[in-house]
Amino acid sequence: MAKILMVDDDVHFAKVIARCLSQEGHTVQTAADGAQALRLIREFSPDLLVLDVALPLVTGVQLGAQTHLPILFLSGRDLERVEHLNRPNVRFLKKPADLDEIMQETRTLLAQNL
Amino acid sequence: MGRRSTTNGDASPSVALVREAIKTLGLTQTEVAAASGLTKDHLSRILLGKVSFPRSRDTLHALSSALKLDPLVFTEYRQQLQVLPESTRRLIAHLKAKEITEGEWIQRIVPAYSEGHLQLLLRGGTPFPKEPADIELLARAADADPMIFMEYLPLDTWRDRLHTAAMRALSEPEAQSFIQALDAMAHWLRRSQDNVTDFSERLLQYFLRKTFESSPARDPVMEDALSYLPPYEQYQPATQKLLRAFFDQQLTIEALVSKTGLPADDLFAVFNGQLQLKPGDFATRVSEALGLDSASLFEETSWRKF
Repeated sequence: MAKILMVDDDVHFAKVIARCLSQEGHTVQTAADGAQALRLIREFSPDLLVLDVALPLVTGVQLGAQTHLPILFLSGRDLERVEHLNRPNVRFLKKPADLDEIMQETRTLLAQNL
Repeated sequence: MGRRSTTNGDASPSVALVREAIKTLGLTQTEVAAASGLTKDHLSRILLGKVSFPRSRDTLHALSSALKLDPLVFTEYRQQLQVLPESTRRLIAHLKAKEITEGEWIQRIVPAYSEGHLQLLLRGGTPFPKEPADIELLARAADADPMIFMEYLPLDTWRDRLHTAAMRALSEPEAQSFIQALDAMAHWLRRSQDNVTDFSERLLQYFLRKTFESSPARDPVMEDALSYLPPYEQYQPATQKLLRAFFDQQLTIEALVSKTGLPADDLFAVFNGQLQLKPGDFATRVSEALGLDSASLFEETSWRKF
């Protein structure tokens, strides 16, 4: 099973996703802003990032540009801003997000990259 | 690099300022050249008026720093500022008014942003940020109100929320009239240098007074809703139906947790527009707790005025 870092400033949403990923057997940590996420990328060494685009302090776009880790981006309206990060191990979903789709995309990303 | 000047009489007034500062500080041209990144020969030719005064903001910064001058004393620097993005100019003007040096401002922000990126921002080499949280960070470091920057989105967010609430609570002509007033106010605020810290609060009070003057009992509900709801368009019609019933009944999330037995995080995630609502156990339990027919929850209806 994988280590996943879930980053979203909506703590309720982050908890829901973290809980579902944990139920699939993954080890999940959450961060509420980009600066905290950067620290956890170093300390927790995740296999996958689930990232909100509009994050405080360091945005999801800035975070994504600083790592080669697989990323599932989630955003209410800013997906066009991360299209330049389109690489094989990056995927995008729009909010409000379908929970089943989030789970499916994480499985796909992990299967491709682990 | 500077172009050749025709005569000494064409020399920039900045040359005299540099000469004066070198004399006052007791520096040599070699020391000033080394500290400002110019060659001694180039500095000498500048001071003799044989080449034009530097125009690069980097060079002007380095030169002013070496001479312990404010770069704004140089005509060339002020001219460079004119071509900067509006928000960058506002930032620089604000730093000067608050007597915060650009270096101090940068150090207050690093490491959230890199020093190089912030220097690039001040030189106009990168667009001013658009993320509200980033603008708040830059503004906080400058002791500034983020509302003074054109890119600060919460103004738009507030407009969207109030627009939505107006369409819901007022008649069509009243709502249009209110929205026009709102736009005029937002436009004025964007162009204003005034302190607008309490903008959101004042606007909300104005709106609540106008909307609910005949039924003030609903104010707390609307105030609560406006404080955390994302833009209206982000909601599915089914979620909007649930929200309408939720607010009409003046419920709290805690009460809904108690009625449905569902986790509060899940309810918040759906009501905050983060998670899709799909037919199933969750939707059935919430709709039944709100007295709605779960079978018709996902039927398409007109939802503009929920």
